[in-house]
Amino acid sequence: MKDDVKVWDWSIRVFHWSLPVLLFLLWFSATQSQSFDALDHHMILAQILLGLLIYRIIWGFIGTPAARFSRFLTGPASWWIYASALIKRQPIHYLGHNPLGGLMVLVLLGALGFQLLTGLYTSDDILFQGPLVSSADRDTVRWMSRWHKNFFDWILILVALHLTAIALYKLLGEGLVKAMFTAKSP
Amino acid sequence: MIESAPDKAKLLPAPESFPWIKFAIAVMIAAGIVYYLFHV
Repeated sequence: MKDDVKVWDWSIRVFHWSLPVLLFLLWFSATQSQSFDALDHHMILAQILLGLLIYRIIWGFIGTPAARFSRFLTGPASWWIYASALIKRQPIHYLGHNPLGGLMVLVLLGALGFQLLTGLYTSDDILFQGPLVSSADRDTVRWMSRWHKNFFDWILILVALHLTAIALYKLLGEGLVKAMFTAKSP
Repeated sequence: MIESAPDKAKLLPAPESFPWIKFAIAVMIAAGIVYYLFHV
């Protein structure tokens, strides 16, 4: 499209596509793999994900324009105006994240942060424990371990919501998946 | 906020304008925190 504008820098795209790959591998290493080293792999993958998440948060303050939180974190009024236009099938076009997309970014980053935080305090009471387990009391470790195990389902729900939104935008004529490969926003 | 053409132009990052110094700072801070949490 002639009017396409390059929006997403390469690091944002690498970050974005790393997430599904890492989430799958983290889930697989924690629950599906029969390998004895599976939890070692889980810990290494978690370190990569934590590094990426911290990078993304910093990038949200000092990164390229479309990556900055100040650009896409709005408030309830913007969400409502945008959602109303969307319901009328007259979506307002934004370069970068729209208000609801920005909200979703915040929710997803928060959910990943919570999952990683609980993982730092998680112990299986046998061989493996997160790096901060020794600094917490037993009740905290038990609470964190339970949430770390169960919260992944909520992340899956958020991923499903994200994919549903992308499918709906496709029906409205906006190819968001392509944009995250080519960097160009229509 | 509907983006106007000038707004779009402002966002246009030329390939050479990628902020490598800021990127290096972000990566080093992230790697440092991870290293501290998992290996110190």
